[in-house]
Amino acid sequence: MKLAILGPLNRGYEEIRLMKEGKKVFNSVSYFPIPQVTVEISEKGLELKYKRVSLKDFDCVLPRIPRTYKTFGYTLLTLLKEEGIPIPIEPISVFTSHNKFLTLLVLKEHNLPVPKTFLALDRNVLEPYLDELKYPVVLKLLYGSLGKGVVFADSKQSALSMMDALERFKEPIFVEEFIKANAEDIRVYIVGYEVAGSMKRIAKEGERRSNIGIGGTGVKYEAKGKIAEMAIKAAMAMGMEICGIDIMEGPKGPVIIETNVNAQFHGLEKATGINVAKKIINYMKEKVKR
Amino acid sequence: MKLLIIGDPKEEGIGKVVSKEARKFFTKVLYVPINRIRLEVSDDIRVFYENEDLGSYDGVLPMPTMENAEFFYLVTRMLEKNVVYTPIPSDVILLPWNKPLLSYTLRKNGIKIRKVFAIAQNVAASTIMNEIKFPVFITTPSGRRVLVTKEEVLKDVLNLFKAGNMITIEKPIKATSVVWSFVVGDEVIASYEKSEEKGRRAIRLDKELEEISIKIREILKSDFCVLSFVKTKNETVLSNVSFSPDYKVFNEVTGINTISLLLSYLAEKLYEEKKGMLNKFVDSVKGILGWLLNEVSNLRSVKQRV
Repeated sequence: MKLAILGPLNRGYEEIRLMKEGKKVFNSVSYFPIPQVTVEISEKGLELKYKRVSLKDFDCVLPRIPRTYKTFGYTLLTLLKEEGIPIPIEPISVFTSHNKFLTLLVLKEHNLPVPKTFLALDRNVLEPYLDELKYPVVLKLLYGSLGKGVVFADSKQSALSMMDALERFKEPIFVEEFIKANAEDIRVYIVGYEVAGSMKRIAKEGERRSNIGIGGTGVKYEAKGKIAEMAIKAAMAMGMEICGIDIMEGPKGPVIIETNVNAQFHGLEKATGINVAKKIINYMKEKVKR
Repeated sequence: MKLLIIGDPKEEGIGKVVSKEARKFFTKVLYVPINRIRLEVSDDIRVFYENEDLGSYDGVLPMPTMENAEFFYLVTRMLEKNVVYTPIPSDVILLPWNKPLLSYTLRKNGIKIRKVFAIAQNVAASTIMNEIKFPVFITTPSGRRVLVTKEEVLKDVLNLFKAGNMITIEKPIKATSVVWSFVVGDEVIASYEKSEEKGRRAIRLDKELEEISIKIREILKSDFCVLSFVKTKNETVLSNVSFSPDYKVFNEVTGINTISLLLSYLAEKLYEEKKGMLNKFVDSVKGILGWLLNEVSNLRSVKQRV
């Protein structure tokens, strides 16, 4: 059995771990850097190649698509799926999960709890409604990741100046209700629509964002009951058999704040000792057998 | 019936022209530039223009542009969730700007397409260099088409773009002319041809091209579309698909009021949809009443027996 991993040009912790675990289970594992993949469509058919190797020759493809390549990644996966190559996510989820507003929209369409959120292209459209909001509010870059591009506005005035900055950089204005959750959240890692592992992420002192990449700490936490159920439902709504779901326990109950189609698991493996890479690879093997 | 028209702020002129025509077919028409819209996900999924909930409209005619394509997608999707009819379903609204997916979809359905390469970064260029013959047309992430005559120039051009943006590369076709076809429902309502010798002139499509045009509209699952075909000495191949026609050129060249024809089609379609929904509602009320009457008579007969 042949596995292809489709990921960024420079392999990170996750890609290296997946390659390593993959080699234990699959007969061959090849790494395809997305930026070097080419698509060719003609009357003869479709070709998806990295150098001279075709992605169509593999039994399954495990995507690790960074935000930068969301459109190209979505295109590649759609074509792969059309060609009958097993992949563990719905191609559209690459597009959906990397757009924070669209993510919340999809979750809401499936009656899952999400923070109250507004989006507009022009600051003047949202300005009249800033008085109605409870502060602080969260302003986010629509396509930010790893906690970058998330800012907190404690007043209408600070929200306005942040909106000015967003507009100046031609970014849509994304305003989200602040969920009071002691600067911590829960990361649930889903593999095959089951909880593969989970942890609490606690922000470093003086920081409200709990992402590991910006100094947050992962601590052991077992997602069960409502949290586990919510994470699985969110993964299903997004069509992502392998993903990370971020949940905050707010005063009114748990709320899903983000979904990650390209979720890192370095922090989770470190915090819990769970071999997430192995679980992903074993799932891929099962998927091919089916 | 209420129609909402959403356009790009840069194309406000045509948006207003379409709105004016729409007033002949709809009781209320509202034109909103996309940058004046507020999207809200809270207890409900709602789309607002100032304080007006746009989910209260019966139909929406989006006039999407590449620059704001993703926002058009969001707005259309949210309005669909509010049961607002759209002639361009949200799941195809982005397709005209994704050449590989568009070509793949059309080819799968038997439509002749042009060979197309797609890459996301300059580092991939070396892989395809041996397979392409210059000159080539590249379509930049902003939708601009550039003719590139040499390998070195292609590398330089590709270096200008940020990693991740999809760039498509096509071989130019020596065209004798380009044909535009405006499809609404199962009819080509207007078409014209542009050639160097004769300029633009209205034409009637031959049967084959007419059938292909309608088939493409069906594949796209939209109620209308505008197509351009490149004609060579030997063949005619699809070049582009659009959901935002250049009404002005169509009207001037063909003398046909394409805006009016499109809007009358949409009004009729909306009327039929509404009628269908009303009929369903009446049927379900009838069903409930029938069930209630049945239950009442059952109760009566039980009571009589007791």
